[in-house]
Amino acid sequence: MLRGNDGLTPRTSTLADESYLDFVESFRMIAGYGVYPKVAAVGDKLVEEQLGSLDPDLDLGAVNDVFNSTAIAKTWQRVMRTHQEMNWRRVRDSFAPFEAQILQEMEDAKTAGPGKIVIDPDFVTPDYAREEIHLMPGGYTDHPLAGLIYHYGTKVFYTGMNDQDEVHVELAQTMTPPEGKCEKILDIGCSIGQATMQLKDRFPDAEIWGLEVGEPMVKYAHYLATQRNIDVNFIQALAEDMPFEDGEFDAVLAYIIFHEVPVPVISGIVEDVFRVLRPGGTFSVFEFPSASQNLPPSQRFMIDYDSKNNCEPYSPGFVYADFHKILKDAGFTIEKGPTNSNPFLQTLVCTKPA
Amino acid sequence: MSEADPDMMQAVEAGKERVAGDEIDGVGKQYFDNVVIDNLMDAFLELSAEVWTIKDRNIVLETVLSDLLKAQGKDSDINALIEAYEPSDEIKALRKGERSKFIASVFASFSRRPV
Repeated sequence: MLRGNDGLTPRTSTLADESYLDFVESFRMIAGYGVYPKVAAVGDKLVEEQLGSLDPDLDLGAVNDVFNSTAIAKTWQRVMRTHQEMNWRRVRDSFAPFEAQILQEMEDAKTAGPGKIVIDPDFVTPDYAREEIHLMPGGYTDHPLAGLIYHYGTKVFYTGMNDQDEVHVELAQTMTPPEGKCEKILDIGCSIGQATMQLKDRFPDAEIWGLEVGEPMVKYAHYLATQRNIDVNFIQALAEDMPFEDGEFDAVLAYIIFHEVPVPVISGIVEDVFRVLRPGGTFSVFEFPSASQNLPPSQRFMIDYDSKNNCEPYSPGFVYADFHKILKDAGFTIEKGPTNSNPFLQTLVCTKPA
Repeated sequence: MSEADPDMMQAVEAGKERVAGDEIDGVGKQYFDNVVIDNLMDAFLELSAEVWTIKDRNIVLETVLSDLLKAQGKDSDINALIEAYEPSDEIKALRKGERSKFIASVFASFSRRPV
């Protein structure tokens, strides 16, 4: 039996699943935030001793060899990978017995309002978008319950800090609207629409759209919106090839989409956002740091580990790319955005000149 | 400068065949020179999660049961009732089956990456 929701978060199908995943969530706090600083301290010290410096141009293979010679780095890598596998496996298996019921509910919601859902039957998912990002089974595109699996799996990822969409509330409340009218807003790479729905709360009179590549994600996002009676629209489409008119939107929001796509696609997305914004429109970006040229060995080791072991194939490309130049080349003027409670993120307000 | 994994990028471009869940159901990763250590750590984590799951269930179970007994005006000293309990043969068999499943779950890593 399905056990309803705890506020905005769905409950797993059994208490045992909930308890198990609570354990994984608490363990993540220790493995991710408690152990890594020790890995970094030990590894950087050894790199300096054995390779003679902490220079950012040190050969990455040599840096990795030094880190991998330590028991603590091996242990950290083991537990990071294992807890992530435990998370997704248990979430998937908890909802699997109810797949037919959940899919039927989402199918029934397709014609329900107040918002609408747009699925193109001829849509072809590009191969780059089909990676099992963060080890999520089937990724965003290839598991019919991807939306629900993502919802609970990221609850664990956020270690309880987004159970009631707190992260997405902050995004919606701090994104920067343009001067003048703000009647139509787009959330690109919206996944299950958590920020999209919060945008409606801040801009109740605006027409809000969420755009996402994964059909099961879009269907689940619309299902949630109908459950919550929130008037927002969702569309399955590519952010680099959006089926919208030139200048159609007053504002666009992007939350951690760019490090999940190959560098050439980043440029395509930025150019298409510029196209669909009206003159004077704003593009609010909350994203990983970029153009990172002076990282210590420990961060280079961690980024490489995450890419190869947490299925983040495109993240290094973004982290080292000159993202600001891509934005400027597209025509945007860029300014530092609002402070975010996650200090790791860079926030930008990009404006299309009037 | 880019440090994107060239093998992974190549696989993406080549349109590799995909199996949903391959990352978490496949052969997995090895980080220690001796795979036994990887297997033991996985078993330890699985065991820890199972122990917490059972402890959590006990907390819920004892609370629910105590509330129920109180509502019925009966003895709600759960600890005393548990210690006095004597299982039937049927319950013994049930517990044995559950125990086997538990052990298989905890030590699954040794089947996944055989020594």
